[in-house]
Amino acid sequence: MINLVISFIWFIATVFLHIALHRLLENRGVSNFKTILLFPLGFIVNILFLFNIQNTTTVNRNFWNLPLPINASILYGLLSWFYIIYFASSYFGEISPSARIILLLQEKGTLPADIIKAQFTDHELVEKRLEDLINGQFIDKKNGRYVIASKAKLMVKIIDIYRWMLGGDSGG
Amino acid sequence: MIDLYIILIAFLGFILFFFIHIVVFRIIPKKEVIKGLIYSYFFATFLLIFAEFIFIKHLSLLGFFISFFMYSFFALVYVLGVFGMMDSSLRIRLLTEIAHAGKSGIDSGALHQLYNKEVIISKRLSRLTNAGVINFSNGFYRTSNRITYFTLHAILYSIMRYLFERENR
Repeated sequence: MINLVISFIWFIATVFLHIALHRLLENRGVSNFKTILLFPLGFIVNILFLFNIQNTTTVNRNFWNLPLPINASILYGLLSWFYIIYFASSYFGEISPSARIILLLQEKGTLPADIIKAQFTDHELVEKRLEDLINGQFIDKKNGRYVIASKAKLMVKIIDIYRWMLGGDSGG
Repeated sequence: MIDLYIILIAFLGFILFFFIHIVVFRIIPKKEVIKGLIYSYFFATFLLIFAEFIFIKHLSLLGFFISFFMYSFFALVYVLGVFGMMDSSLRIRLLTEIAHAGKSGIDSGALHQLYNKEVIISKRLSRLTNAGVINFSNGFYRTSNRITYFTLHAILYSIMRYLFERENR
């Protein structure tokens, strides 16, 4: 159990380190998205530490010294992945429309549909995302038409199968 | 060895949850997404308890408790990270629309007609209302105090914005 606690504390420490490093670089005007590399590094350090202390754990096992290095490593990995997703969306200013509607209503109290819709533009909702897909080479734009790129075809098949399994909603 | 059993049981729980939510989502109405996830989670938990204490019997109560914690964490990460993204990501929707248009693709006008601010926000308002996250009365929307994965996502985003977008505060 102590392994899980260590992983969690180490994850929190990595988050604080990341915030400090991010702000330090931000104040110096340096591009700082790569600061997320602290987490893979933290993951490796965590694994090395957990598997090392397991060897020194006493034979008399109780609630606290039950050795759980695999579970603790996975916990750190998943927490980091989760954090990176939210950090990336914040870094790139990519808030989902649903989250934005909730935050808007929390801030303003009550609003009619037309005021909510007026907070959004086609550019940010559609065009910016199309540009990102083009930049990521998932789609191409040829003669004013959007065409799927070959590297995204397998991905779309997997998405289609996933959606079919869940009953065929198109999502979005 | 106990470490490995714990993670395997947690993984088994997640696999059960995954297959149960596929079946549940084929039965329940589309607007009952949150209910479907909750039913799937508890049904998978019940099956996991049954499987562990009746058939597997490798774990102590403490081991099972940790296993249950890890399984719940897997389910949470899946719901917020994969299910939520597949269900509502605009990029994925645009990508699939373009892919389904075939080799000739789709022109910008048709894509915008199919998918624009009006369609996107109306769909989200309807989804949030169905999930009970917001209420609609007398032509106005307001938030309810219900915690769902939509609100959790908004809270996590707010925390990140607070931590990293200092210039916007």
